[in-house]
Amino acid sequence: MMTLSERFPGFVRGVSTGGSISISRPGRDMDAARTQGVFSHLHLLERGALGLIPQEDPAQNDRVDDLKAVIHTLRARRDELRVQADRTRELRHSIDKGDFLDEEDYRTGENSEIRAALLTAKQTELKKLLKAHHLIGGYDLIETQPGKRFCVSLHTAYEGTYCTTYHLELDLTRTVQVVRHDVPPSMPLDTLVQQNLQTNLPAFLHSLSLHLNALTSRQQQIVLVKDQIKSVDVLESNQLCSVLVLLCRGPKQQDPETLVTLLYRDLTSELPTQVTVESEDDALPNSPQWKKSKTLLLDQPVHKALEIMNKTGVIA
Amino acid sequence: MEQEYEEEIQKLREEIAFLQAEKENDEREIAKQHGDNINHILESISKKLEMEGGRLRQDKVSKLVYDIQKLEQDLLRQTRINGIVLTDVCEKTTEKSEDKCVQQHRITGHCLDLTFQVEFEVTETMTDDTFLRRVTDLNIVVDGNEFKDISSLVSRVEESKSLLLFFRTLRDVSEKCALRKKTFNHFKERCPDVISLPNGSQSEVMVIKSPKLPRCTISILWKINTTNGGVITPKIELLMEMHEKALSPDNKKVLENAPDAFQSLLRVFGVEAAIENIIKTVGV
Repeated sequence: MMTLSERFPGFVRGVSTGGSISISRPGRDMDAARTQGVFSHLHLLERGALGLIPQEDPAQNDRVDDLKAVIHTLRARRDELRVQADRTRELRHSIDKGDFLDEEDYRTGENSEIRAALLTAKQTELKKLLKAHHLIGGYDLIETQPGKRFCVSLHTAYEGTYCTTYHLELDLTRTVQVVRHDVPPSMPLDTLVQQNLQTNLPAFLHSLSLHLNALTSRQQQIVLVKDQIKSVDVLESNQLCSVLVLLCRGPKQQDPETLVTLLYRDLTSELPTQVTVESEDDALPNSPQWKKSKTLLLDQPVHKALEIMNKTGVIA
Repeated sequence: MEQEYEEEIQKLREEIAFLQAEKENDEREIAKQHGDNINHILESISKKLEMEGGRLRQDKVSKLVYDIQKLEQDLLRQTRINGIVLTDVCEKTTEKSEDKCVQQHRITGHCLDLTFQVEFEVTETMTDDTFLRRVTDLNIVVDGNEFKDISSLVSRVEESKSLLLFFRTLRDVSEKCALRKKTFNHFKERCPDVISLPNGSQSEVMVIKSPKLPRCTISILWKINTTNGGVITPKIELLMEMHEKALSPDNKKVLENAPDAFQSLLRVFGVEAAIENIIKTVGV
């Protein structure tokens, strides 16, 4: 089949030499129009409209636009910050040199820029100290109603990983009361409240924090068991993670399955207080290697104990 | 094209983090070097503002003063409730991108008598809308005589990067240490001839040596142990030593039974009264 430009060579040349062609989509199509003439370009558009050539991904265009916008904002931020940083350095030098802060300055309000710089330095220092309190797991006390109500945050972590943060709103108007909280309902909060909320707020927060952190540890251990010990199934657990039932398999296929039940009666601890082992083979729970494993399960976080049991060939 | 843009964004983010750190470092130095001047200024401006009847002024300096007063109040509250005083903090961003941020921190402070310097690295990552913050490096230096009580905890938390566990336990350990110090020093002041604290006022051992029983030494050993989960179990023991010449069969029995008897005393009377009883038995 002949192309349009082959059929009407003069016409095409006439238009293309005639100067500007206005086409709505710039870029690749525009280049095509310049090199091959307007009809081939129209042809291209027609094929495009019929879906015969792959379109440029509109999402990609959006992404480029987004990136440009980000660059624009970041550049503005950088330039602003550079000015500020330079100015702070200059001010630091002139402050270090001294002799600007005499009584006269206070009265006349001279040197207000230096004064502002000193105050800004203080402000930054205070903000950093507060941030540090937050990072090391402080209670982040926030006043929700001046002099009356406070919100306390209790951070939890498992080893180095920061986990859930729980909150309590306390009313201090007459007696100290917990107004609302997001502590799990199965947590013995009422008991802890009765023990020492009225008499010793730090002690109350400390014991609640111990409980919540132990809960986080038990929760994370279950996650790690599911992740790392593929041969073991977690059959049952509860909200407080105070019961954990595991189905363990022996290293050989004909080995009987073992049911391990861990009870965590001490809710401030990440370790179980009781371990029971059941198996179809009655002798197995009392075998020396399972006796050893029981001690191990009482002494170590469950995923670590299971890992050792796996390495020593007690479980698959 | 897209990659070039992304590279530029990355470069800009790093530049911003660097400038921010530079600015904050200068501010930190200013605050450190000129703390007195700053307090002076704060005082004089707050006075001036008070004299004006507490009307909110909109100029930059007044706003700063209001803000600082609020932050100071806030810090005082945090310090009180957390039981930990922070005296110096230093932070440095070592990596910064859209979905990852690595910062190094150095925190100096004290908790009752225990002073500490903790260096740690925090890595924050964003994956599939999940924000994850982890301590990726931890280094702890604790000073003071209580170091013995806390050294095993320090090595354990350093290994597992349990920054939060360290501070939670530190508070508790310091309180227990303070109680021990108070109790031991109370007895030392009352009977200075009989009681000595071999390792100074924060000693974990108190030695009772009566002039009436020159061949017998009683030591009260008060250890503060921490479990892996950060639960603290003080352990108070009585150790009795007797010169060989004083060892009659009867005395031998006393020597053997004393530690257990002391444990019963502890359970029934509590620490202070139990020690009191021991001192009485040696005839003071």
